[in-house]
Amino acid sequence: MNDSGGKNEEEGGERDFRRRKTIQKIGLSLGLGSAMALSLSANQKIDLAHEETSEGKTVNPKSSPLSEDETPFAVWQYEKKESGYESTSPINVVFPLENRSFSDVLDVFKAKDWYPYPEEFVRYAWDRESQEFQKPDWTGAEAYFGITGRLHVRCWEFEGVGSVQAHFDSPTFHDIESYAKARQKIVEIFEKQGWVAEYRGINLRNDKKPDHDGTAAVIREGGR
Amino acid sequence: MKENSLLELLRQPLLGKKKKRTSVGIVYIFSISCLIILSNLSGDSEFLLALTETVFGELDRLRTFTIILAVVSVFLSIIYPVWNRGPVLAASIGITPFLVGSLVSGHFVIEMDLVLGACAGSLGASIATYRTAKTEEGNRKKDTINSLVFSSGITVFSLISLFRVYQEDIFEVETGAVFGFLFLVFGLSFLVYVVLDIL
Repeated sequence: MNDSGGKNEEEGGERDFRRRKTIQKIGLSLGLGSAMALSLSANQKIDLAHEETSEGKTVNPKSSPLSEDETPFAVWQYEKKESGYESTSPINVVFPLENRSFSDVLDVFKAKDWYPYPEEFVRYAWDRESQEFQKPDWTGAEAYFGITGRLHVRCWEFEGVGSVQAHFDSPTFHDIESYAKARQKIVEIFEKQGWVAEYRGINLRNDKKPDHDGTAAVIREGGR
Repeated sequence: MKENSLLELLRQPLLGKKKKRTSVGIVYIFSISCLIILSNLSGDSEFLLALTETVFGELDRLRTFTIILAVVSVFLSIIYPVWNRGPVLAASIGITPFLVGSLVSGHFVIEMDLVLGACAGSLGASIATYRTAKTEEGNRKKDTINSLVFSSGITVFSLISLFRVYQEDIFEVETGAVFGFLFLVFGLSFLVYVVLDIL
């Protein structure tokens, strides 16, 4: 009797000890997990609450866009196909750089903590100086794959002017969810940094579904 | 010697129950990592671009494929542990595409894609823990405890990350967040079951 009682007690003691050890380990693991999640920098999903006003969403399918050779900046981005280059998305933000450099523009994008050169389709823009299609000078997006959707930009510099194509990708399949919201977000991002934007600064007449009204925002350095 | 240690790794219960299945999981992770790296580097290197175009026709096709693989991995990290347990490998399947993406772009930040992968990985690890607890013999339950310890860590990581990404507009009804949240809720219920069972 006595003997078995002692054994039970011993077993109980050992079980308690093991239980304590387990709880300690779980606690340590919880601590490590929390510390990692809190210490790494996190990307705040860009808030879409302030929506583009409805007047910006008129798409005129019949508008005749400016020709690429009329302007120093690009009007479209192109996909390279077997039959040649085919225009896909409209350029919707333009930076007349004046006293700033193109890398100042890129610095603002980079400060948003985006992924540079994410998983994306290869697109080109027309450079009228060299009369060639060029790959972007920089591209960036909120997420590397964008399986839950993302804001995505491609940037070119031609003749001292920055041309940016900005859009929201749909989750995974990367259809265009919106050009107008993306243009507005870019304007907000730069205004926060003290740049001055004209929301519909220039009419390129490059209207495009689902919601691009043919105008590009023009963003200049702020008066300091 | 080297072969031995590799075999030992395949026997590690944190990676999986059956050696053959564990190696399938490892090969999967290795292959998608290579594809993602190839896809990224093809943007710069003419040689790799030529290779990609020979195999896939065009770079855009490979890129579509890797994006779809990232989504598939999220779901595979839940399916794998049902098939072969292995909490660490299950979670790795969900997270690897995003970590490799960060690696090749030289940039890491907690964003919704990664969080979704981590949430799915947590559910996967919890399922593995539950299945191990259900079947492990003996009263020490060493494998179960290891699995539980890992699962709790990654679950709390995912939970905090999900809240951080949504700090400003918490749980705007968006597919990623809803899925992530559901994964975590299911995962936690498995973990709570195991904790009540063994402690």
